[in-house]
Amino acid sequence: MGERRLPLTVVGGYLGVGKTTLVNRLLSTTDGTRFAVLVNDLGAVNVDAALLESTGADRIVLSNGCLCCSLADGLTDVMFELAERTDEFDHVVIELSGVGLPGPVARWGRAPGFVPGTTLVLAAADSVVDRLADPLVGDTVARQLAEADLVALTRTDLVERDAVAEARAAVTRHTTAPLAVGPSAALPWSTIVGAAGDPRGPAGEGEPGPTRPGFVAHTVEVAGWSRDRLTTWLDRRPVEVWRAKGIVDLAEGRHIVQVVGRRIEVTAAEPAATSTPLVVVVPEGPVVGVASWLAAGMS
Amino acid sequence: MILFPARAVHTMDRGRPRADAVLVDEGRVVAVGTVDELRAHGEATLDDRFADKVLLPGFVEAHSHSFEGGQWAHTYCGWFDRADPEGRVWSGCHSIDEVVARLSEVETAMSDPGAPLFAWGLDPIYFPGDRLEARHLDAVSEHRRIFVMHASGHLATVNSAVIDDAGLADGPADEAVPRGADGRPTGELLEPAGMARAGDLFPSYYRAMKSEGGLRAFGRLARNAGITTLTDLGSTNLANPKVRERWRAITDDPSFPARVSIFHNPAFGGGLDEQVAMVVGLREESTEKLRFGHVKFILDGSIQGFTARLRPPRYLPAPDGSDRGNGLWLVPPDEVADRLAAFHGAGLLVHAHCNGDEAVDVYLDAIERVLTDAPRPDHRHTVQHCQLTTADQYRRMAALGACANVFANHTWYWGDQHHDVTVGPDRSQRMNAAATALAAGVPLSMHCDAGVTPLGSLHVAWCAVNRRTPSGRVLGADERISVHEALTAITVGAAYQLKMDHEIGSIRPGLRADFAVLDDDPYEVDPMALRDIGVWGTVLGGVPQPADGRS
Ligand SMILES: Nc1nc2c(ncn2[C@@H]2O[C@H](COP(=O)(O)OP(=O)(O)OP(=O)(O)O)[C@@H](O)[C@H]2O)c(=O)[nH]1
Ligand SMILES: [Mg+2]
Ligand SMILES: [Zn+2]
Repeated sequence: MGERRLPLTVVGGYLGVGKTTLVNRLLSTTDGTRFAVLVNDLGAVNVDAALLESTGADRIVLSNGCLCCSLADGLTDVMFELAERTDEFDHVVIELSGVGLPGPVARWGRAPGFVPGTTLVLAAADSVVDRLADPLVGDTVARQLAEADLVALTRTDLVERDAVAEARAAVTRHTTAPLAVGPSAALPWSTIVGAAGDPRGPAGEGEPGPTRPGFVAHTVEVAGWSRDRLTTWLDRRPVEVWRAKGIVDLAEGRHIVQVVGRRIEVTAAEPAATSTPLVVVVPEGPVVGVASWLAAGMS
Repeated sequence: MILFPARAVHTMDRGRPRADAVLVDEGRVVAVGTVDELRAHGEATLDDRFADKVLLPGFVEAHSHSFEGGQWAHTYCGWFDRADPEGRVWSGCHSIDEVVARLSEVETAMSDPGAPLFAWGLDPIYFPGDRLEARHLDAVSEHRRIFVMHASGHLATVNSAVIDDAGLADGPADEAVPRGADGRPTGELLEPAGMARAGDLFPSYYRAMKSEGGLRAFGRLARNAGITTLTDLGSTNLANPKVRERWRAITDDPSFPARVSIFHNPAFGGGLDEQVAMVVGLREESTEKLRFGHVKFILDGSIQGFTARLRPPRYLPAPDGSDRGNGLWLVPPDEVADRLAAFHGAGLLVHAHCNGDEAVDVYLDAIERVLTDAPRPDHRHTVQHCQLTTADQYRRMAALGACANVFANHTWYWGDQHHDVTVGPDRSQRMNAAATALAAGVPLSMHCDAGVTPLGSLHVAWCAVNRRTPSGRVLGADERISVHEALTAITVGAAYQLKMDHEIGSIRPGLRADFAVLDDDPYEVDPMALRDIGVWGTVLGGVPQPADGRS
């Protein structure tokens, strides 16, 4: 196993919510990043094979991550294999089956060969209210949402604005994760995956990744802050702020800061790591609460 | 021709249920009857080694997994006594102290000081309130790395040598590697993602389970239990030709003492059409001892893991009074019918793991829809486990032509836990309702789900006949079935569900000469002694296969 560690992005959500559309979108907008795309069982193999070839991505199919009956678990096999082949890829994306729970899969992000990326759960604006009320799958959909770092409300172009609001309200009853709203293909993938896609290291090095139109990066000077002050401030960020990263000199020493969705990590950095500003990615234009939150950070 | 006289031959065939002897030629039964009757077929060699034994059709285990053999590469530390592939019985470990004592004994005998110690089978459900942690394992060794897999497969425990070696105390805390009040990892590793943090240990543990030696051990365990036909139910990725070649080489070896039917599990991946074509194609690769061509779905989890999908009123509340919610789907319920339709349409047989009754509803809905669109005679689609299957569901299965393979061993291994912890006194007595299935006219088989519980058909029969739990309860006296019904289920009943009953499962002219060779007569012993009957071994295709220590 090499020293290289691949960021692991998990994409979940019930049947037909746009997971594959989103993954295809990621692959088609890539800048040479080599993705290993794992699709969870036979419901999800329509990832465009030609696209995968043209981007040098590898498609590996795996089974559901539950071991209830046996150790017949495709995921374990595939993750062992990928951990041996980290040189061949820059990033791992796992598309779960419609009933897959993202939590146990996302935990592979801390296993040898990987670093945690975003756990994204999609909900479709035209169906999520019904799904949540469904006696067979409502509890599963709710658990998926609760385990997300970031939720995307998709298929919004197919319904009236009232229905989007209703779907949004239903989703937020089950998750505290930030919400991105919009058609699957238009979601700002690079911001979601962000610098978690950076192949160079576990966290914190370099820029926060290319931002898509509609998003702007702000630099916040946090040198000298206490760890507590930083996490308190990050905890208060508006839900629209998904992504922040940097290697910063806190009162307690040099730390790597990673914010992906609702996940905040502040970990001690190697002394040799070069410090960077803390970069925060926020939506462009007036978004309630963002300016005052940033101002609080900059004062 | 070889003529085997026996103390009794129970044929599981209505035309002649009992005989004194069986005549075998070229691997098949020529006739059963008295020795005199059999002489009518001409010159035969008399082999009287079974003169004081009782012959039954070789037992057929229609729900097992090949890792039953592989796990013996590691040290057993489960609650129940369990026989290893060499026939040696390992006593159960009834407390954490006994687990530590077992591991210490093995550790002391290990010659390579650098080798890790692996163990399996630990089931903390039997010592509630006590958790195995690193501090316990440190008493076994502070230097040697120790990795103990729990019976559920969801949890492992390691010692401090592993925690230090793998740097598990470094970095931020997280749920896969829980920490104690002192901030140190407790030694527990959750789910494969947590186990993978123990460096090379989990891959090594896992690969040993799937080794060739493990598959061979699976065959020995079967023979030692009187089983001549095994299944590997969806735990092998058949898309990999190397895997198939290995099974082929093993089963072609005349010393491998069992037939094996290996089911395809769609969860291993690939497009649905590709998968259907693959399974249809694989049927051509079947041999006398190795069978492909059936399909296994897994719809839900397990009851003792609280992951099976249950109809209301679902699970009992947790000890703290909280609601346990419902279990997990492993396939989207909306997709089950489409998947079934694809395999059914190609003429294939599909067995579906459904522990909970809500999962059974989903599978029966799928069967009904598929049969309405594409009627097919004699499909034999089977519900596997059926642990909470209700009387209405059995009646519906009968109407749909579906079969039930009931997890009878559960009344012994987890019956008290079902009574006290999972579903309560009422439903625990209705679990694994073999009598209700038979009354509804559903074709019945029963299984052990090895390696979840040990391979052992007589034990399975004993459970269904007695429904005893370790605490001494009779769990659901009215669901007990007769010895004959139980023996039918583990022979011809299981063969029927594998579509092999024209070949194996009973002893009659033309069928393969596969026998279980027993020291005593299951029809004559006290039903409570069924599981204690000695097994001499088997006859496979006319060739005697003595168990370890027998000849
Ligand atoms: N108009 C519109 N169509 C969408 C959107 N997202 C997905 N779709 C369509 O919905 C269908 C399902 O999308 P997929 O991307 O395959 O969904 P999935 O979540 O991968 O589905 P499964 O893997 O089967 O669970 C496709 O026809 C997509 O083109 C969206 O935001 N707007
Ligand atoms: Mg998909
Ligand atoms: Zn099983």
